[in-house]
Order: sequence, then C-alpha cells, then structure tokens
Amino acid sequence: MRTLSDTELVTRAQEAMVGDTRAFDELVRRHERRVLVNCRVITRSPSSAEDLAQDVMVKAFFAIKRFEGRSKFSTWINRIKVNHCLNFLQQRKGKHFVDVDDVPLEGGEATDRHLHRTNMRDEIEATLTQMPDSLRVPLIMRDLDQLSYQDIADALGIKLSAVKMRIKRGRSMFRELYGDGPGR
Amino acid sequence: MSSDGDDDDLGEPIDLSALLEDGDEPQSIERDRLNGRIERRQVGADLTAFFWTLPLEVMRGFLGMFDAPRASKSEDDDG
Repeated sequence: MRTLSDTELVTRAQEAMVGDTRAFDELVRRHERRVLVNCRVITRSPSSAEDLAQDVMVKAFFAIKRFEGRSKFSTWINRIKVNHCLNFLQQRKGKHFVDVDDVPLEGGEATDRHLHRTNMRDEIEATLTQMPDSLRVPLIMRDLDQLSYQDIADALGIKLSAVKMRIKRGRSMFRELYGDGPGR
Repeated sequence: MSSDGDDDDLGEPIDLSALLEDGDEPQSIERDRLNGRIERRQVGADLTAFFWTLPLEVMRGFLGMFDAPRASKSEDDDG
C-alpha cells in the first residue's frame, strides 16, 4: 500500500468520524520521537518529557480540525510543542532543578558505533543542559528542528534580529562548552 | 541546510541529530495513556457541546445547582 504523506493523513484525520483515530495515530507515530526529544532537551527535564509530549499530542488532536495546511504538519506541531515547553519553563521559573546526569560518560574504550553515538547523544544533551533557555531553545529550533528564523521569531515572540543573535551566540557557547563539538 | 541562506554569518550549524538516536530515554509515548486522555477530553467536549444546546431555563437551573446557598440567602435578604 502507498505510504500516505503527512498532508494526506491530516486530511484523513480532519474528516475522520469521532473515535476513528487511525490517521492521527500514524501522525503521532511519525513525529513522537522528535517531540519527545525536544520536550526533554528544551525543558531539561527528562521526568516531565513524557507528560509534555502527551500534552502536545492531545492539543494537536483537538486542534487538527482547525489546521489549515498553510505550513507543514511538522512545523505546526513544532509550534505547539515549543509553546507548550515555553509555558512549562515559565511556570517552573524559580523552582528549577537539574534532573539529568550531566557527568560526561567515559567512552574511550568504546569502538561500537552505536555506543559512540549514544555517548555523543548524552554529551550533546549534557552540553545543552548547561546553556540558558534564551540560547538553548532557539538553537534547538534551528539546528535540530530546522525551523526558519521567522518561524522561530514568531514562536518565541521576539524580533528576527534577536533570533539570529541568539543562534549565533548559542552556537558559539555550545562549541565552547562541548570542546571538539559536532559541527558540520 | 539553511532555507534562509545566511547561516554563514551565524556560525556553522551544530549537528544535533544524535539526539534522535536510541538511548536510555523512551523514544515513543505511551499510547494507551494518550488514547485514554483523548477519550476523556472528548467526553468532556461532547458534554459541553450538549450543554449549549439546552434551553436557557434548563441551563439556568443546572447552573443554579452550584449556586444554591448564595441564591437562597439573597432571596431571604430581599424578603
């Protein structure tokens, strides 16, 4: 059977009868990993990531009928996710605690590629954890989610020039903290 | 990579793709819980929609159930 595009799945989800969540389930399956990872690294709270990702999907489910398709579904759900994570950060201000293990792993003996990538993942996450929200969030939106600068400005409610400045400073800080960073 | 075309001025992008690799953290959300939350919220939305279809007097009577102590006191005061 032909694989449906996100756009086609959105149309099916919008036209689905109450209780028929098959099209939406497929959209969740395609995007859940990125949403979960984002919720974890944006909020720096692994223990809240699952709840936040669930919230994002529930919001998307009830808003999908109003989605007009002017952007890609991935961009749209990104916006919901970022707004939700920013609200979470806002509410948590003043009672922040770091709940990730930010001790770098020892990977010197590891030759297995998967293990190497896992170590890299943990190190990237630990590095991001050390960055302030104001630089970490735009950096993730740009370099992980590949959002346009304008989309980031809209989502964060700041000027385009401020977005670019924060991304520039964010990249610089990331490299400084990470050392021989994963640049490309 | 840039669709905006001016990443050069902002430093090289950081390759964060390793974050999407499998790790100890869950990479999928718990489907039963998600479906349960959607169903519960759907029931709530249906009840709300039904409520707004009721005649005004019935709606007032229903809302009055939650306002009974204050309403009766007010009547006493007036009387």
